[in-house]
Amino acid sequence: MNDHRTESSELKLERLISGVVAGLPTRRAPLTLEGRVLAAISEGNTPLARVQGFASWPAPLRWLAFPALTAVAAGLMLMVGGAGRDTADLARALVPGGWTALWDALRATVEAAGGAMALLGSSLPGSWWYVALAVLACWYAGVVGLGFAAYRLLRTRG
Amino acid sequence: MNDDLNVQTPPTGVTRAANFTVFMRSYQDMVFSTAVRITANDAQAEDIAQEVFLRAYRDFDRLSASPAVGGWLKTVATNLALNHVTRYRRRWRFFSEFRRDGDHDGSEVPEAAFPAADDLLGDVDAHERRRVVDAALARLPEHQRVPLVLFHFEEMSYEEIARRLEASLPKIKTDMLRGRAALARLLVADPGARETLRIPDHE
Repeated sequence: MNDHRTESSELKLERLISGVVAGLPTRRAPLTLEGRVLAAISEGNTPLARVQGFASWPAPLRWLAFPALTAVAAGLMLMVGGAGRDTADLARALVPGGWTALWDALRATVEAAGGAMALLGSSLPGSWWYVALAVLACWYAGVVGLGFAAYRLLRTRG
Repeated sequence: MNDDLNVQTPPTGVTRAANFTVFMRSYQDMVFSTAVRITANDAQAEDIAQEVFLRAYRDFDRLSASPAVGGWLKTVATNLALNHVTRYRRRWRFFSEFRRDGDHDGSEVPEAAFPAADDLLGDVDAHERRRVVDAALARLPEHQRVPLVLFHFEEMSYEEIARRLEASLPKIKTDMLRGRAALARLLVADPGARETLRIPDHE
């Protein structure tokens, strides 16, 4: 009896809402929409990359993009920072003969970083690593949380 | 002679763009409405509508001759809006799901508070009614609003909604029941909506 009454109440509610929304007219699109679409067409924008963003790129491209961009950035930094004390060094690094110097600089950087990590690992107590990891995790969560909060405020409420 | 030919037959690109503009004006309200009811956000809905028409432009030669173009546009708009809210939900679930779960839960609404559908509809101007209902829908939490919109506006079945939203059927049914109750409560409780929809006072 009670179940029957509940079902009847649910159906009544469904009919009520169906009645309220039935035949509602459409909302007018913003006046800017047409201009935006025509401008995008005239600029030759493709829908895929521009609107959907990095998250919708094909998976292999996404996986390749990060190391490729990192390598490019690292190469530029090494060229400018390692060999770029003056324009002549930079020019030497950019010509084929300069690749040896670039490789040497890269190897020296990796070795120095490895040495520093080994020294740090041997000199710090084990518990410090857990503290450092916890701080890093909190920092990461905080940055991500703040970013999402900003996105939500500016984008979805805007 | 050549000049005459140029005047009589405009470049194909110009004709295509002009035809597409006419096409877009015919459907942009429908596409935007579909997107904005799912996202409850004008800016996001405009982005989605733009994307829908850019895709339509890509296939315009085929679409313009198709009698089912309206359905195609609606389907693409629905899919893109759902993709958007699904992605958004995944991003935010960790931070906000617990809080939003408690929002506007209509389960405590007494049945007596709901007027009959005829009382709600009355002879209200359709555009004003649309404004009031859309505003109330936008106040619902996403997990209640989206299934309600898919059911009542996109005419999807419960099973299809559950599949599209990657949720269990009982959860969808519960969310929709609570969503309907919350929507009715919002319409009944809002003084502006009461007046617009001619809802009699129950107090």
